[in-house]
Amino acid sequence: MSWSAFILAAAVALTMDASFMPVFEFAGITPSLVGCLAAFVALHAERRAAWWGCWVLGLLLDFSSPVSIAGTVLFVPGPHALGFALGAAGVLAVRSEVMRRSMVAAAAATLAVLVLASLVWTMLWSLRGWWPDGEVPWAGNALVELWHLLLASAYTTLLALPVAWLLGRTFDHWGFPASRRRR
Amino acid sequence: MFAATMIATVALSLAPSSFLRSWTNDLSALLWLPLRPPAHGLTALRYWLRPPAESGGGGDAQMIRDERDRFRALWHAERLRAEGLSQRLSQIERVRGMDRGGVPVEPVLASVTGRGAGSSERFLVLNAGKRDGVQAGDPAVIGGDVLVGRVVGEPGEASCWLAPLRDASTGRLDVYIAPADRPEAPPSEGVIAQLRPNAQGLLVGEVDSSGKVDIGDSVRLADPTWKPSAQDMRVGVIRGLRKSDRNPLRSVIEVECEAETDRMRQVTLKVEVNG
Repeated sequence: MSWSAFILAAAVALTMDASFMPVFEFAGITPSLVGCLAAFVALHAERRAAWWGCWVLGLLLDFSSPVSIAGTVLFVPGPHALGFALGAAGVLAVRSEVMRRSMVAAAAATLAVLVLASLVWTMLWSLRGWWPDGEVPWAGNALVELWHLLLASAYTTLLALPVAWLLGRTFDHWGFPASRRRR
Repeated sequence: MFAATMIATVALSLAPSSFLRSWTNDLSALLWLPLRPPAHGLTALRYWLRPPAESGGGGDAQMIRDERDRFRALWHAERLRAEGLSQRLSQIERVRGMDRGGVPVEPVLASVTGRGAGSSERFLVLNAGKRDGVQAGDPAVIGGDVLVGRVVGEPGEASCWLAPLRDASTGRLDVYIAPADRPEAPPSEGVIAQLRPNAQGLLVGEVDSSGKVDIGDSVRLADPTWKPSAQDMRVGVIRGLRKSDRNPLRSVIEVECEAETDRMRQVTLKVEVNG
């Protein structure tokens, strides 16, 4: 995988998620381009690159999602990073069985990555909540938050169809094994 | 190598907040340094495509609204100052240094340039920071006296994070309830309550079932943990009122915040002027 293409795409996706994606907000749920990009990388990159790519995307998301503890801003590196890494593992386990260039496969992979990432994120934050200075970034209970995240995952899956098509147009620039074979 | 990284990531994600706070903020600021300008541009594009709910008119109307908000904020700042001076006159012989409202406040208009990515009620990123005099805890308002939230963490040179009222991190809020027909009533004539955010995005709390509180009443801040310039600002309006299941002598109130942070474009920060 071409890491320069990955960094460029990650920067675009992260910026879009933080500033532009709320334009698609529906019933308080905003889709995530970073999730679509993680699924794309997990589907096409070499095994090791897929792991690292998804981990980096999750880490970038962690450094963009602050919580406030005792009046100070806190970034916790890990919950998204581990979630996306697990998501990549899930996609890697089944990707040989699917037509990877299909938009439907990309959407399904996006759903898998985001559902697994949501589970890990909620679990790790719940664990942090047990610390003496631990606070959780939600009001109410963890299951409500998880439900909210799963709805967002489903919404992102719809968005993944056109995003997969767009990313497919750039396939030759990513240096994936399949694109190298095609050349 | 990757397995070791995963173990380190697990350790970091469960590390105490005091350990993480010292370096993660700087790392995030570095990461976002090159991304902030395009994010600002994309936010402007987003508002052009999907204008905030409150802006129904064109550019001129928006400018007039901004000016109105600015002058309302100035008026409130001056009112607070006048109240502070009055308090000082009456209490100067008793308590020196307990000047709650006498702090001069400078309104600083700040645009929302982004939001924290991720889930839950998310922080807003404002394009005002230390160079504008912004400090941690400074309250942000719209429409002159509608409280949006407060600045959390150490502000950057040109940006800061704003935690909205409904964010879980805000914790409990001490407020007083003013009757709907007299929303400007002082705290001494209101009903005191303590609110906390719930999962539905409302603020909930309990009050005595004395009949003094009704749906539509205005809720204002009276919380000593917030800066003086935030006191008296409107938090929201009572949308729900029912008997408490645990105590029949008390009622549960549900307060809807007046500031809709999801579609917000600009806020006024009430920055304390030192010296």
